[in-house]
Amino acid sequence: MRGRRRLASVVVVIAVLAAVLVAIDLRQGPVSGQNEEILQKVLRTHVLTVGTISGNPPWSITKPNGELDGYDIAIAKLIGHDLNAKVNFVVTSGAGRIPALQTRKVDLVLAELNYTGPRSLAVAYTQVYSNPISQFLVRASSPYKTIESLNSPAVTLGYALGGNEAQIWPAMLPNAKLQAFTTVADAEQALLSGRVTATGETDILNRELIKAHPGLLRAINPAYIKGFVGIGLPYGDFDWWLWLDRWVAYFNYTGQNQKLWDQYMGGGSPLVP
Amino acid sequence: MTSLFDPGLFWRYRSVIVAGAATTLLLGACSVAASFVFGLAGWLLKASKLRALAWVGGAYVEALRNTPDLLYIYGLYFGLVTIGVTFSAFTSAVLALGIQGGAYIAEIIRGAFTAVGHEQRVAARALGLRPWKSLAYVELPQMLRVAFPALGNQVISTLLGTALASVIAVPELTYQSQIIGDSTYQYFSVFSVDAVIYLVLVQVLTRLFHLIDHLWFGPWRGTV
Repeated sequence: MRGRRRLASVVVVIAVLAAVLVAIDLRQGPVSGQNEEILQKVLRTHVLTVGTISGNPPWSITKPNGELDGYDIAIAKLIGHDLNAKVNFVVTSGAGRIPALQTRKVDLVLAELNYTGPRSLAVAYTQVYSNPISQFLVRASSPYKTIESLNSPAVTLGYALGGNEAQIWPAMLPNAKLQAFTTVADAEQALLSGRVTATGETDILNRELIKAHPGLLRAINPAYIKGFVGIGLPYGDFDWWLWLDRWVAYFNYTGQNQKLWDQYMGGGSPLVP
Repeated sequence: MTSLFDPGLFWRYRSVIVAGAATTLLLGACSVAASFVFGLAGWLLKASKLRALAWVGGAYVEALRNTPDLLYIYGLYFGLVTIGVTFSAFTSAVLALGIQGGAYIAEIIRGAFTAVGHEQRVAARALGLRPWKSLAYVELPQMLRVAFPALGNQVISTLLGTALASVIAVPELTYQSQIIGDSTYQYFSVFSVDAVIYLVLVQVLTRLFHLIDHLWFGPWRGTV
């Protein structure tokens, strides 16, 4: 009798869990008309909630006093200024960026979010505001000198979940093994401790890492991909997308983007033709 | 636009999910075995009459019970490499969870030993039993009966703790789910499948513990 009651309680827990998930899913759907549109909400509350990641210099880092700083953070503050809204940052992991938008925990994501095909099915993007290039990073003592040489079963490529590497690398280096880590910092640690042969990040982050670990790391040139970084936002809110997309266009052509890029990246151009 | 919940996800990724669940079970079993070894050693050290050994045992238990598992997982996997000691991700996770769980098991054993009572030992001696026979035939069966429910909880806690091994890329259930979530953006679907699998695993274990408890200790129930 007790056993049956326990079994019934487990079934009830599973049923409740399934019901909650279905309810969440039904709530999503096309948003217009079901939820308040984000632009109206931000203008009414004067609060803009921005999802970002930390530990990704110089895009976004946490300063010793706990404040966020970086190129993406500065852009978010400019958007907040133009909307007359206080910017409320929500720091998530690389992998947490998409679910944060899917569940509308944040109004937008500014976290070096590259366009990818599968990602574009999950969230919407504005037009591109930067095109960083990505390179492989190996230990200085590594025998691997070219991208082609990494296409070997002896090679393990480490990456952080939430990036586009799992979609790009298998096609580019089919013989190499892939190993995923929860954060960029874990993937870097795996490279430094010899757990993986190489990682792949933007040339800007690689430059920072090489500077932070003098003589220990080396980038493999040329770049293996050029990124298309846009602001991520939830699907289904046309007004919000339109406003943000126009804002990015304005940000690009007025030279504000170049100014911030120079300040945080130390030169070059955010938009590479 | 993708839906938040895809009921067909489990079927499409069944081989990956089943492999993850199998690794979780294997990792859990190895970690539990390691935690029993460390726990027994911790208790023996703590119960030692030599003050230095007792201090080491006490320090082990207190230090490990007051710090998170994740520190040891990172430390063993990434930290030891810097001094030339390299463990695989799986071994690092087993050791970290084993060392951590051992501290709790040492306390469970100590509690059970105390619960049996000194008079039982005196009575066994009075009947002419040598210390090791007293331990084997009088004290241990009673200790096990006292400790069994708490040990069962510790085993379940260790099994659930295996999810932490995902941070060092042990391909257990949570790690595999993160990989699936990362490539499909169906985090809700995959983690709800995860939750159900963990729930089923823990229920099976709980029932197994109840069965063993009933078979082994049923006749003694209420005699302590």
